[in-house]
Amino acid sequence: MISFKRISKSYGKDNKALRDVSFEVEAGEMLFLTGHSGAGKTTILRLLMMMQSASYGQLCVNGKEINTIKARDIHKYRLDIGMIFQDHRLLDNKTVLENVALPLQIRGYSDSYSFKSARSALQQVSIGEKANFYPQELSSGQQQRVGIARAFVAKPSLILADEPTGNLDPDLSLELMQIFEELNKQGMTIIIASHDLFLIKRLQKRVLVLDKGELIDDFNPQPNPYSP
Amino acid sequence: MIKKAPQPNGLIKYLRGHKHAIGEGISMPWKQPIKSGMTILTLAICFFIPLFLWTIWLNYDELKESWQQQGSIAVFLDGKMDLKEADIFLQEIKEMPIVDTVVLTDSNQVKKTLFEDAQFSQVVDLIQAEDFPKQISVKIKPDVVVEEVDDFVNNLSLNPQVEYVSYDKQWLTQLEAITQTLLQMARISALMFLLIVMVILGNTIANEITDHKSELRLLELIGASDAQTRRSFLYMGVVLGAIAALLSLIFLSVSFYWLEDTVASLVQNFGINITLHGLSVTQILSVLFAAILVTWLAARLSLSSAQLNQVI
Repeated sequence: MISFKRISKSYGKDNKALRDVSFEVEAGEMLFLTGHSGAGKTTILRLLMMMQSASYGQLCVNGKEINTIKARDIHKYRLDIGMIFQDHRLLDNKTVLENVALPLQIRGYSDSYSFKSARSALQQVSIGEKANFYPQELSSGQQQRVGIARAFVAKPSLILADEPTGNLDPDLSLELMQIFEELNKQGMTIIIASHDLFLIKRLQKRVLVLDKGELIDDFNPQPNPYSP
Repeated sequence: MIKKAPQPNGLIKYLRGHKHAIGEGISMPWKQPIKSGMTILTLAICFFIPLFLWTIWLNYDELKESWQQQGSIAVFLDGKMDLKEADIFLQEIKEMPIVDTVVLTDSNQVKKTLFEDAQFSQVVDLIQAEDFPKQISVKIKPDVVVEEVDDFVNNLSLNPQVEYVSYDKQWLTQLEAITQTLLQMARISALMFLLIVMVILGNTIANEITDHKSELRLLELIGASDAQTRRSFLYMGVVLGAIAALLSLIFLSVSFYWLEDTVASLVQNFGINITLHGLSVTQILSVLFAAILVTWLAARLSLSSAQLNQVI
């Protein structure tokens, strides 16, 4: 589904965010991007979202080189991606339900279908009772659930999450990860950028380790035979 | 494989998008009522000035018609012409494209009119021996230029059935000069104020875009096209423009109410009996349509894809 071939990304002459990164992601896979701040995790997500373009290399999604997509067609490409941000990015002037229904309304679905699907998505992330609240009336963890519901409500084939548990306590983080696992079971490809090694270890999914823009490891953790 | 609901077709998607954008566009100005109020007021003033000049121009057209009568052409016919021949000649003149109305006055009526005038009655007494010729008064159409009138008068003068043609060329020239000056002033001011409308609205929309920067960025990331992103701002511009146009029409009615008595006494001093009138329903609708078109254009120019990408 996703293929990074020798991708490099530079900001100016000396600032290299990615150096010769190559990897592939199969459809329906769930994986983590990890590394220190500035390792290049967010840059990979930004390249996949077409918020930036690679300085060098070939990036293909669903067999198509995304650099060839014209500027006016980028929005069509993004319709099949759900994005989750560390700072949630919910619209304060809309209710939780309206925030979640937004991607469906952009795709042209009727209000009744959009709100029905949004309610169902909110139920899935266990926050259905907060549908008519405004984002500022929710805790950070609840806001992140809303952000996740908004990302998957339109059933995209790819979900990208940038530090989704960055501000949350470990229990809440684990709950959110279980939601991601559930979405992955439904067939969505999920890429999560996170530096929370404890969480990554618990989920036992494929991990790509980045350091100073280089991909230094790509592995599938083995289940610990001694863990309960 | 993920099961997705079938995508709505293009037209339905387009219509639903507009429905949402209209709702957003209408509600957007009320989120910052004072700021929006100031913008509406400024736009209304910008619309009012050319609108006022245009309405004055429409009234002036009526006034011009009345003044033009003072410069109407008097065609004195050959004394040998009988009434039947004069009538045939009158019909010929009437069919000419620049002619608005023609009136035939026989010699007795001419005499009667002159006798009614205190100064002229004495002169008429002196020339009693001479019979008065029949006269055709020709009123030309308001939009005819002096050169055309000149040609018309020259042709009439050459006609053997015509004794003499009298018309005040200087008056018509002056009237046309005044008319052209007023028209040009109205055009220039309309252009300048429309330019101001564009700048103000462009600035307002640019500020709105900056205020909604994070929202627009998010919409872009969840798959909204540039057209979808700009739609609600376009409607907001149109809403501001339509309200401003309505307000400018109210300003116009108030100013005409204030001016009515003053203008009436002024024109009466010149012996003209006309009243100041406002705009017809069609003209009001035209003003609203023009205002909406101008504000939409201003909004669209400030929401070009390049501009949008630069701000976002």
